[in-house]
Amino acid sequence: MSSSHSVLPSESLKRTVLYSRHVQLGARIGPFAGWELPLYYSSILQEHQAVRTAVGLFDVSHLGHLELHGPGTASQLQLLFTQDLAGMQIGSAVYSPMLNPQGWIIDEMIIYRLGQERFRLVVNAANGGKVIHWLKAHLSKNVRIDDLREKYGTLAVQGPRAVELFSKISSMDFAGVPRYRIVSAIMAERSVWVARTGYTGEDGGELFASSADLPYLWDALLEAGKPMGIQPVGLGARDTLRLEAGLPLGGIDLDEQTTPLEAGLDWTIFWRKGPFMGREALEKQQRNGLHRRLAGFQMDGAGIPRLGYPIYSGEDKVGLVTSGTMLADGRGIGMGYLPPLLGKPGTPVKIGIHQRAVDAHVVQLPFYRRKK
Amino acid sequence: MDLNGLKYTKTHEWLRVEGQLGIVGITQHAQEEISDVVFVELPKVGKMVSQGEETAVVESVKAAFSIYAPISGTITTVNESLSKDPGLINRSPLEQGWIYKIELRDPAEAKALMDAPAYEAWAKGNKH
Repeated sequence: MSSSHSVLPSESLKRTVLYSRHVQLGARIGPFAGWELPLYYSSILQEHQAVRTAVGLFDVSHLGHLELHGPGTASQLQLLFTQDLAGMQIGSAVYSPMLNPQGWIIDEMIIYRLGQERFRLVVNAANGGKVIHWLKAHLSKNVRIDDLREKYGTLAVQGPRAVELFSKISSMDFAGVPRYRIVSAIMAERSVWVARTGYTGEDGGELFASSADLPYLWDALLEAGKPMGIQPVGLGARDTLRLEAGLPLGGIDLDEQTTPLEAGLDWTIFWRKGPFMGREALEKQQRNGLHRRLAGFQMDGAGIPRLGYPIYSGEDKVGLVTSGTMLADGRGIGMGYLPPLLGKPGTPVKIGIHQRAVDAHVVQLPFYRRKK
Repeated sequence: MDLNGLKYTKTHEWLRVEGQLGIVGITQHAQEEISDVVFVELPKVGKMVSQGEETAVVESVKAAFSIYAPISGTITTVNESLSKDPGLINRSPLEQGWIYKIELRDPAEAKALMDAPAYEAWAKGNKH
């Protein structure tokens, strides 16, 4: 038996403050983006299911927190991101790519507006340094960048019962906090930011707290969530959940030469705002037409699509799989880049799996949409 | 079943020899490493394989694992139950989760494989 997974030497990997808890819970630990993180505790399929039907608790403290503040922060960020950051209400959140002049995505992240000139950026683990470097190079000295990567931890609490769980360990009722809002609250007697955001396609939220408070919150959530069927959830299910929800993963579905138009992130571009980094390149791409676009597909034949597998139309190789998995119901699903003409739902394609060409067809993303 | 009769590879396959026939599967240690098996790609019956050659693929949600022939020969039967219930490999790796049967070309090749205590020691030493 062998697989193509690479394993980094563990000495160079960082651990979150919850590492010993993961070990105690019997987690299988693995390397990801420079961190040693729980891949699963019980089983990926089971943890995936817990998030879809009850509530799951994730330690995502590998995500990096940056806080930007000072005069002119809003107007300057407006120039660096595709979304309408200057138009955000205080206490709201938005998902936005940050582009280079070629229109390529440097990183995409959720941005929280905490004050008139105060923004919190939660960035992909592997990209923290790159993002700071880019921001420093493009923002004036008036904008202060606080690197909170060592100070803050993040817990994601996702599932239909997540909001109920929040209210149970706080005097606040979170049912009245809409999606994509962030509020400060006291939870389990600790001060936290509660954001109604996530990366699973499910209802729930994310908690930002000081690293010192994180273990208390973790324990309190697990305890209070017991009657609701709470499960700790590892990175394995985080990946299958986001894929099922049709959310692209930076570094996997988005490489360093992907524009938001190609990635199906058109909805993140606020064209009405005037100039922003990468705008001309995107306009040019719109005029000239796209060569490729991220599409979802479902397997008709047996097999599991995975990163790097070829996609065929007839005999022609037309693209590559970027993400894929098999869901609990036995459906093989995946995403990959296809010429736009082949991206129409129902279009038959074949996926090259271990020297076989297996039938599949294009489907509309996402694969899963939660019931409101 | 007499587990001591099994022979093991360094790539975590097991082989049970019954006369001219060998039965092949993956070990308890291997199924734990792979975790939830959700798909098994079985070899074609009649295929001739050499010792060490890739013969099947066992897949979890996260990754595909190649399964190598512990011995040379011709595939005679594959475990069709795995198509409907790949989880048999997790629940019963050494019995119901067998993958294929192979007609041995050279039974002496089995001598190069490890016995249970040697494999256990080897697998322990190689745990990541």
